[in-house]
Amino acid sequence: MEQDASHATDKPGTALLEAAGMTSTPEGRASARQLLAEGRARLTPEALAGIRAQVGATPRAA
Amino acid sequence: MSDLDSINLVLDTTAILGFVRGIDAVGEVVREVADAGLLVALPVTCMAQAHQSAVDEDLLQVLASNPATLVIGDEPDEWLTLAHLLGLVDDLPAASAALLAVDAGCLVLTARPERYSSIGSGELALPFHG
Repeated sequence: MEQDASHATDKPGTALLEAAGMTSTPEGRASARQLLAEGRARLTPEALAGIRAQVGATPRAA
Repeated sequence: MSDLDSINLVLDTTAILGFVRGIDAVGEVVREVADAGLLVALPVTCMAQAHQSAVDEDLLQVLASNPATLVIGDEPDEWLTLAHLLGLVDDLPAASAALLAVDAGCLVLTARPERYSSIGSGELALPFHG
């Protein structure tokens, strides 16, 4: 049980998948990392600034 | 630091339903972000819309109650930006998801990337299949 509690704290995403009855695989993890990397590469600061200008969003203060 | 600063991914209705339906691509992306110590945002309107289609309310609760997820609503003073986004995506929950992503500077995980194609050049959308 202690291991489970620590697992949930340290790896909330893994704990979430387990709670939902889903399993994580090395192939799935690699695919997710690639998908996120590609998405983040597309959403450049310039692209985000353009979107904010398009929709009238005020950049949040740092 | 606000919660918004820690948000690294927004799930729209299609992604929330993808999680509930056990689509591996959604689960793995959520796991990747959450295990990195970052927050996954669940717009209130998307949760409500997903509830209309989800067959398993318990799984929606599992998703919403995880410490790595945050159910979050629109800011009242951003109504005009929300209106502009609604004009581009023609769906209020999707507009809320886009607004959160714009504010947090992150991506929207979605099965319907075309819905966001008029926002910039569609860069906000992170498409999944499944």
